[in-house]
Amino acid sequence: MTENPYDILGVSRDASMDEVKKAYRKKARENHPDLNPDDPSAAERMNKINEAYDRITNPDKYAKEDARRRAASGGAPYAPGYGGYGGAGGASGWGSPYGGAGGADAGSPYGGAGGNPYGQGGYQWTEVNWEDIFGGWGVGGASAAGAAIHPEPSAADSPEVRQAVSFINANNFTAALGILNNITSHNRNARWYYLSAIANNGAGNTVTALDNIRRARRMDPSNADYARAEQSFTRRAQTYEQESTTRGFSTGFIDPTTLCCCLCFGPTLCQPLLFCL
Amino acid sequence: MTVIGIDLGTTNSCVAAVQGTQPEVVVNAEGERTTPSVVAFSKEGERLVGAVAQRQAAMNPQRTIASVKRHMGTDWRANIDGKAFSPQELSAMILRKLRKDAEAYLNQSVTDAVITVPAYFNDMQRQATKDAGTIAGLNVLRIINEPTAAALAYGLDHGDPQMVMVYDLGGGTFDVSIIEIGDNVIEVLATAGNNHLGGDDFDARLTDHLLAAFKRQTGVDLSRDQMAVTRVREAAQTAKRELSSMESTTVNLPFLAQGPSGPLHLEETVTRATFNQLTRDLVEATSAPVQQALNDAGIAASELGSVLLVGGSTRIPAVQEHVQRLTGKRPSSNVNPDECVAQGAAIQGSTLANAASGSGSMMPRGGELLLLDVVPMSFSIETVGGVATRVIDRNTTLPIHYEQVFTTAAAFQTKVEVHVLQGERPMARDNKTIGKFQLKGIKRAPAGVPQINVSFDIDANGILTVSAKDLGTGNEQSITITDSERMSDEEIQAAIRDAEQYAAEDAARRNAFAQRDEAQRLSNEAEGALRERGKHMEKDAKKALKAAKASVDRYLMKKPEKMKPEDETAFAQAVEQLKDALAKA
Repeated sequence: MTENPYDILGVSRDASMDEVKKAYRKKARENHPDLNPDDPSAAERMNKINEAYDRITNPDKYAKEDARRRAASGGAPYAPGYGGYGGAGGASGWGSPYGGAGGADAGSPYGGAGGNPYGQGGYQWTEVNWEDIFGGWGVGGASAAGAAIHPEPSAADSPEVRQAVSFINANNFTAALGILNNITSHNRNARWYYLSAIANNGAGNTVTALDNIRRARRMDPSNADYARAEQSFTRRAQTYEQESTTRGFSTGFIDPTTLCCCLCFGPTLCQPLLFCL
Repeated sequence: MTVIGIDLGTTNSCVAAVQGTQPEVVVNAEGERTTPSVVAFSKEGERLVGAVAQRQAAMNPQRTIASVKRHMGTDWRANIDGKAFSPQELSAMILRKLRKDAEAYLNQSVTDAVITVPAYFNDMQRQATKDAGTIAGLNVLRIINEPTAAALAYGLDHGDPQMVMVYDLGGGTFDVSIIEIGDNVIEVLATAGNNHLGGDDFDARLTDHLLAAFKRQTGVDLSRDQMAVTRVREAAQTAKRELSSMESTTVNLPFLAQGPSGPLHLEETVTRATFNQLTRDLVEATSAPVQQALNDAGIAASELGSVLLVGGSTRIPAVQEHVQRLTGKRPSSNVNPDECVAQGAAIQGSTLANAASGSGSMMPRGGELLLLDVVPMSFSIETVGGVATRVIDRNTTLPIHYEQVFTTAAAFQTKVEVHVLQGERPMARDNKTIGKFQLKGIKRAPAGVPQINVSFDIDANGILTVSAKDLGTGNEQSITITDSERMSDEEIQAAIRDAEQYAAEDAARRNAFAQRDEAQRLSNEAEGALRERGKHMEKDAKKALKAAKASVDRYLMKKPEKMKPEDETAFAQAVEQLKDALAKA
């Protein structure tokens, strides 16, 4: 999207959320294809309005994508983008993701998997979520899969949040969720999503946990605790598959310098490989 | 022209249409406001739909199909007389009846409809529902979500800005949606649910309990006796309903089986407490989706203005208590749980029709409620290592357009397969395959050079279209959906022809029936006339009447299925002659 979302909705940049909502509803009533069935361009306008509203209400959701686009539109397709993905507490950074093959290097996301992932013969394909490779670059290998996370109480916490933290640390996740879920919308910050993620994870709601931690990460990408938690949750979702038997994925044509934004379609990986630009 | 709103339910369906400014529920041919979603094939091959089909279920369990909605969007088939019926075709039979009932009630022909689906239906289930409508000869203007429809019906009378939770526990599906009403806009903030949780599961628990009680009392295991199980299930359903208003009820089924010392009967008293205990985990299973929807909407339950209960299963007291416990709110009693979904669909239909005609005759222009619905489940694509990478997040407002540029990873790669998924799980294999798209003819080039623009469009129905363009050549590549569970256009056309042919046969059968009825009446009349005033008739007239009656009677003696086409013609002629003779005599 090139246009400014505030311009699309026709509100000033310092408009309150209520003003934005009112403007969105007005625009929706004017442009929604349901109320303009004879106007073929209505759907397209509505798409833009929906995106603009989403950008204003969920700015974190678009931050990564925008950075990627900026990178893509710049002359050098890959290099400039990395700035945006710099992991919190990133020790090794982009240069040598595979350097620390032994697993000791805290900067290697493969550290915990044991052995050189790209070595010959039956390596284990561990870190499967590329998005998370970007995000959690520097913190890989930190915590073992499934290890409990114990959040520290913070001075900025409200009494409710402090109570939730102590419930989490007492492994009483249901009670923690009971408190967190009663906190109203305006008081839900990145820390709320982080705590909710830990509590949901503990209660076995792994999908919600992953959603919440991603949200926390998007709201506050520089927080190392959030990054660590995300890393720990995704690690559990990983599969360990033998190289040659099922996936046919060989190191031959994967150039590690472009691996960062690899999107590969389809189950037969030999042929239909794609990278996103 | 009036647009009907159809709530195509798992166990019951309901139709409504806006009359004046208010949605009105259609009373069906049987005089009821809801129609059982049951289809049956009689031994003679006749198709029965609704209450008649349900009534004969115990006698004809193998050829009676209930809860077909549970199979929507799957490759499940019902095999009847060597023909495999898809869920779409069976649903179309129900829709056809609903349409006919609406035409009779509204006294006009009906083609346009809005059909509702559970909010948590995936793309394929929605598409299958739309196809069912098409097969039934309906022009499906829109597929809308059941909880949203309920909110529309509620919002029509309760316009104050507020956030509403719709808790929809139907016959086979559970949905929960958080909806914000204000400025004549109904905006869905989040939705969650379980496509396989509903009243049927409660019935099954009670049925198992009764079968176990029977075994305990008599030592006879009925679970393999399909006819007996059907009877017990019907009794369980009735008992379940009674337990919503009474503390205890007695199930009494005489002659359920034959024992060594004579017929065996089932008599078992069920208390509400027992029922609650049998179904506690089912009620509990609704908690997680409720919490997820609240979470996704980013609000606490205390921020809700009201809680609406939709679906017959919300009549169960334990369910109502559970909702109150979860939300801390007393559920609103302002909507009818069986009818509000169809009413909401009718309101949406009327809004769409008014916008199209530009007249806004039903409501003042600008007074229509605008519905802003969301994607219930995230769309993703399979990427390296079998990971599902999100393309469109769940709860994104519709319509939405998204595009992304991709390139190849391998050198000289000329084609790529895109695997589109729906679901929240991190691994591709745990999500539902929506389609696979092949993009061919990419120019041979080193890895990273070709640019392929893939765009995802989700229309206001929540149905996804994917297209791809090779930016290098400027060619728009054709993409084919290779999903086997979706019906192709040819298949839909064939099913429409089938359904229409059946409708024609059905009409012919009804005509034939009416004709025989008429012939029998004339024959009786002739007999009476001959008896009463035969003596006073002219000789020729009397002779002609006798002959005509004899010839009609000859055809009446013949079984309808034995009549050849030439017999039909001759029969019709004989009837005409009898009419003449009667008039002259």
